[in-house]
Amino acid sequence: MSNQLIPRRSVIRSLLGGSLLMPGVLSELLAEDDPTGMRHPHHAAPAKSIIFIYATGGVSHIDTFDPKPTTKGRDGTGKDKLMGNIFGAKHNPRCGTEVSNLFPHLREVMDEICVIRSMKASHFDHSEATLGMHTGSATFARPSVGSWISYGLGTLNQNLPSFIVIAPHLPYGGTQVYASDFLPAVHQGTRVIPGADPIANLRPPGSSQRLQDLEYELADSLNRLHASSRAHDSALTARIKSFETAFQMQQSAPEAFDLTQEPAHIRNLYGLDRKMKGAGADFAWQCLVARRLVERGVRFIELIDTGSRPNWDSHGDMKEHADLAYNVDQPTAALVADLKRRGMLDNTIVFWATEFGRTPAREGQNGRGHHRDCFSVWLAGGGFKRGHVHGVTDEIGKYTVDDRVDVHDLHATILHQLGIDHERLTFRHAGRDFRLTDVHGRIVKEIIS
Amino acid sequence: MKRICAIFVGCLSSILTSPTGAAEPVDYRRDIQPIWQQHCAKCHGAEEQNGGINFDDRASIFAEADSGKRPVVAGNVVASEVIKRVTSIDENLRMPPEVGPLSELQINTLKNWISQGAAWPQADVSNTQKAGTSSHWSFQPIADPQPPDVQDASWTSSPLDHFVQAKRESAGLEVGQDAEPVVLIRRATYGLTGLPPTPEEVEQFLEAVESPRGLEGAFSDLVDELLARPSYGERWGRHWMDWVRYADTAGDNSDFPIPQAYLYRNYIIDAFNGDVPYDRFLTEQIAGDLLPAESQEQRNRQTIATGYLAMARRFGSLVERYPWHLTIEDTIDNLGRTMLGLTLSCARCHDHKFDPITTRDYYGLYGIFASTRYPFPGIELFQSQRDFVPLIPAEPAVAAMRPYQAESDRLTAELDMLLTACRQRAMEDAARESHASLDEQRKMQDELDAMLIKARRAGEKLADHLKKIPPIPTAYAVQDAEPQDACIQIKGEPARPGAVVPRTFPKILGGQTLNEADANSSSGRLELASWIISPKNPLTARVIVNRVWQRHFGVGIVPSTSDFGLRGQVPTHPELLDWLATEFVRSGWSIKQLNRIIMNSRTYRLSSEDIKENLAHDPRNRYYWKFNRQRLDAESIRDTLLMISGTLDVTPLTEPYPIPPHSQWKYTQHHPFKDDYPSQKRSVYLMTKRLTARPYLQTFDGPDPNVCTSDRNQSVTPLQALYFFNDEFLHEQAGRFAAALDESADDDRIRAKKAFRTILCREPSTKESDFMLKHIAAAREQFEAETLANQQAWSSLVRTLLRLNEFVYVD
Repeated sequence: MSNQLIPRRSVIRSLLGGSLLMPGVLSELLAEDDPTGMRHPHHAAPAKSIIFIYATGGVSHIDTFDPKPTTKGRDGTGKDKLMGNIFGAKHNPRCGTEVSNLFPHLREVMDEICVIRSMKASHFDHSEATLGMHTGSATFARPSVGSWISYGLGTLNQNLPSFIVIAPHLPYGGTQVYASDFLPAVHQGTRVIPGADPIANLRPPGSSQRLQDLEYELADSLNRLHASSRAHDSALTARIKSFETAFQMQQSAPEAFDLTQEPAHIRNLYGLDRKMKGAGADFAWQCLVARRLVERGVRFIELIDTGSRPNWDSHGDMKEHADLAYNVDQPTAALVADLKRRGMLDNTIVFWATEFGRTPAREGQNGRGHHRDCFSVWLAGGGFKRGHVHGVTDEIGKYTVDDRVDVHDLHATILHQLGIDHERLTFRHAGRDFRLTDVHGRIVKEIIS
Repeated sequence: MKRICAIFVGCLSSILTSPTGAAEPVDYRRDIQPIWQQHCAKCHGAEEQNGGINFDDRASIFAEADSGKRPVVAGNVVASEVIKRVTSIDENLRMPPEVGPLSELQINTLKNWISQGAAWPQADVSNTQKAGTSSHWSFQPIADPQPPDVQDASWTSSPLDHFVQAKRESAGLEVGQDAEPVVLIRRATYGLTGLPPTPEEVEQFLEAVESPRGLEGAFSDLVDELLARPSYGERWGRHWMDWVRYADTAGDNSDFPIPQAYLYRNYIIDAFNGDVPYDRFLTEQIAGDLLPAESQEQRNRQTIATGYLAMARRFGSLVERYPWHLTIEDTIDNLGRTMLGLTLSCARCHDHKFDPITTRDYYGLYGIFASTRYPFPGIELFQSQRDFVPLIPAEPAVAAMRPYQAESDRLTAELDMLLTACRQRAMEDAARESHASLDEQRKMQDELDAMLIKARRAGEKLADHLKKIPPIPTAYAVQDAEPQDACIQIKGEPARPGAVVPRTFPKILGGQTLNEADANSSSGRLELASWIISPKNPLTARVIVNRVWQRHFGVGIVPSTSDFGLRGQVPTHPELLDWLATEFVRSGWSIKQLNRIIMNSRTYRLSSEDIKENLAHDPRNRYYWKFNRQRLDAESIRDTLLMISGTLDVTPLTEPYPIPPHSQWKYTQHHPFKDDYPSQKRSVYLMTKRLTARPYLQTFDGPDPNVCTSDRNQSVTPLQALYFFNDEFLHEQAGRFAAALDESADDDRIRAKKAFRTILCREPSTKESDFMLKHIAAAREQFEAETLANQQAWSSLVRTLLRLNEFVYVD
């Protein structure tokens, strides 16, 4: 391939002094940013990476992972407007987890999945609850969970950002959902928009490889002259190295996003290039890229299926859920199965969530309102129980009956599985130590295998 | 549980029936103090006074606590909250929490003690530190220190240098070289204007240095000249905007745009350019509307200044659950950090864990802002502005509203009535919640929900009406509302009101209160401003001189620039800090003069070169033996790119952004406001949204418009490097400059020199020129068509120079 990296002599020289002799450099760079130098896990733990799949808008738990029967007049026509799952449901034949017919593919891999049905949301409205799920705070701007994990563990690959967000559209809460806020900027989520140029500025606009090599050489010579009288400034050295890393990223990042390298059976498994229903982008692309990024050592990958509109916020008609589910069901299930088959699921967490559930009572013609008091999320891999259901809601899906889990608990537990003690992962800012879980968070031991 | 309850009722009735009792006389020291110490004092003692209660302090036990109740009322067991709490059957209320209740004997002893008159010997009054005092350095009065003697006086060129040198000498550290004049002019020009000097300006400065004025004279002239440029206000106004978290949107979940916000931005820039005395500057921003004005123009300017308070973040989307208490918290938080260097908002839910700031102090300030009418920028379910302040005289303003006023009043009254009812019901529910059954709780919730929906509808009606009113010129500014003292919100929950606290300034900073007339007639903002700038308050001057110092040297004398509290860092040069603060106040609170004092020191003029021996002892340069090399911030990089390409539009933006008229607004959390209005103007004039940050600013450590950004990070990341490699905007600017270069001369060496001088502000060495020429030759070969080749080659050179450390770092 013509754009294959063929380093020129100067490039080689400088790379040998730098990033090719990794994994030293990025950790050095990170250490530069992070005086507390927390790079190692607090304890041995199964998971090393996490794929966070976020379904925007509030997925109805009643019609998906906590299906409630429509019998006994629970079809929305009664005075109480109560409405059960309108899509039908079945149990996974092996583990018995019941999932609605919206997710036939995911139902098949329920043996690998731990569903939590007793979640409580941090707020009743989209933006706040979305921020709550991402940062632990529904009100004030705080670092994203991905930034915290990147800060806590660093990256395994210096040629790619440690926290990548694949999002065709911005979710509620805008860029705050993946901002590093007061954590060093190196930990902020890098947003990838599915398509030809997933990461901004990866390709030179118009200039050739050879020209860029020449430029690299000139910059290197001049930077070295400049540095000769400033030898002790580690920021200058770090910045020279950052250009080497970026130079590498131009080669390795497009490769990570290049799905033409995937064999046909894998493309088919994920359903790549299926025709999407509605305005959705190809979620199979996102899932397959996510697996490739995990393989390449990216710590935290978030996939957002839709943006702040249109999405799972089915106030008027629950049938909107069908198309959205179709778009994500097969690729998501394929991701779990593919990771499993490659032996990667043990040290990768796949975490699916939304901001809140939907009301048991019908709203409008055939929709449901926002519901804060209970909803479902699920986790796979990373040492979580397989084929397990945690928590119980009442028979109409309005309140949690047992084992309530809030967002801080969920965060604490995920960090735990990555080897991070949520009470010790702190950052001193504006006069106090901040935590992802603030002063809350209980590790939900019951879902850990 | 039931059993305990029965016992309590029994005890209580026995005491009530025999008030004098045959009980043994209770001795405070023998019987009561051990109970306090063992069960209460950990959370309500010398260390922590949760709820405003201190069992080590006699006065506190008989006084009103934060809840509004008295822990002990001598002789009255029933009125004593202590008894109510130790006997409560509600686990959320019962004290001590989490562990089991006190023993029957202990409870009886307490009751007997109270009914016998609650004698507490005076001698036992605790000698713990009195409220409102602290030995922490920042709460001590500002000293007026004399510049200390130094061993080698030949080095110093200003009193400031004496402070720095004395410290450095005592640490045994050698001082570095002075910076080269070319380094100095680049440092000073970026520092004061955020832009580089032009090659011509560099040349003139170098000539002036050689003139009889010498380096010191020439540099002093340069500083004066830079301070007089309009770009000074744009640069230093941007610093202030960082601290007051300026934005053009409100930060609610639909991120409503505020077309009028720019007036406050321009007020800031003008204030810095006009060198408005800092004490006046603060007063205008807190209470400009309450200051006398001689003309409409002056009145408008002062009104616009209160945009500072209006700028507080907004939350939520519902008119019926609009969390004003969070907006007021954001106000107090920012005022605390920015002006006082204190984290006041910690005291919203509990007394500050570290600093001598109590919940009472917090709600003493809260009342001032609760007595202030904030403008309402609109939310998803109230798509209209409300309570913005007219910038035209009252008479025409009233006339313009007249056709709509009656309807506005009617709809407003209806909404207010419903909201008041909801608030009352919410409080009643909160009080009932703990002893209601689950079914009752759900019923209460459903009923309240129905009331809230009614209020929402009333709000929508009002908003629809307001949208029809033709707009008049207004500012995003505040006015006085009905004066009121605030209730403490127990644990920060508005539905749990506690004691009423008179409006006041924190005790530790003077504890001033409003006199009765002012308390009854105004919010108290004007008095608040006077307390903030009062000589009794040791923080205000120290905090701002430290901020200015930080923006020059990259690190503050107090490194934690927004936290001078006990958890903050201590000053490296406490005397210097006080000397600067004293000089600053003496100069009439002049920021420009402060910049002069700092920049005309030899300390400022030091080179950033390292001294190997010093690095071992003082790697962070705490003793200022060199200047700190700093990375250009996001705005300086962008503005420089525009400047060298010749496309920077240096005129200020004096118009609002072309945001659609508010009659057309339909912003929701699904479709938040996201518009952008790009321009070639300086970055300070770019639209700032709270919910959607510019990727460019995120990449280069731009300010967070949601919170006081104390200082800018100077991170180094591969994404920044990718920007310099490939960003289209950067390529465009490089292309423009290359085209100009190509035409400017026939000789490659001259062109290369010009490119180098423009970007790096100095002459290239022969070696550097040779490198560049070699590159130009090699780059030309990459292009077949010769016409294109030249420009492409020069463009390539320019891009490369922009990637250099020497460009991005200021020595």
